[in-house]
Amino acid sequence: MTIDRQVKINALFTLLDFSMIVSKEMKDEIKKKIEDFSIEDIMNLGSILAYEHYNREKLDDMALKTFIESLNKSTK
Amino acid sequence: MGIETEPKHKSITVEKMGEVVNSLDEASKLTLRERIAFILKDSKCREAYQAITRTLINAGITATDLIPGAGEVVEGLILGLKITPKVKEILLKYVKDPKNSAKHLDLTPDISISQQFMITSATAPVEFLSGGTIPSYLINTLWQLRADIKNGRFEGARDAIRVLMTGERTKLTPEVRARLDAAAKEFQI
Repeated sequence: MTIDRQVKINALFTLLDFSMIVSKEMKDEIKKKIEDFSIEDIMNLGSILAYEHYNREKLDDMALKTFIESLNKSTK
Repeated sequence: MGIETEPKHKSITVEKMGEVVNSLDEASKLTLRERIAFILKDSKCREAYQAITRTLINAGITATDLIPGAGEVVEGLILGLKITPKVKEILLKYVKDPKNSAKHLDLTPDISISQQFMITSATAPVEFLSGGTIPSYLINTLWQLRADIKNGRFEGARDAIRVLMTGERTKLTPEVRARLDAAAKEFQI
């Protein structure tokens, strides 16, 4: 695993831990599966959680669509 | 993945996910009962909760102390609890969890019996001369309040109020916010 990927995963974990839109069960699921995620999916999920961190609000339709696509793609 | 509900193997739709996200958003917050339980489990929050309750009750007794006669009765009972183990014992018969409740019965835990004796000795003549209209219990209230502030017992009050009002357990301290900002920066496009 490259250092960059590990940095992104650590950052995603940090954002996940404090996310209000993702349940504890979902956080655990994502953490379990994250090693199989592509860097693109990690970036997509991370950017949506970063959006949530900056705005502290529910996802808009576009962000929601990207979030779902990333999860569906990553878990196929 | 856990977010996929039914049927299995079918990709989740935006609409379905919208419902899930909204319900999760609500579920991620605590109910009122959970909020109170959380506050009582957290030592700092519990200490603040007790200090606030104690201050409010003491303020109420001070106000009652303005009424000649009534104040003396309440004050006498409160002081009796402090110095007479027998009074405590009788009252605790009616309490479900006596061991846990015993320490909460003292409304001025930072005033020792000897200090209380000094306060009562000094204020009794004044009370007598004023016909019971001077709220001498104010001394106890302020003494205890000062001790609570000095011992930092109100520090957890902000957290307790935040949990009670918002249901959010995680405190976004400047350090945590900085850590989250740094993490979020990793995903800025």
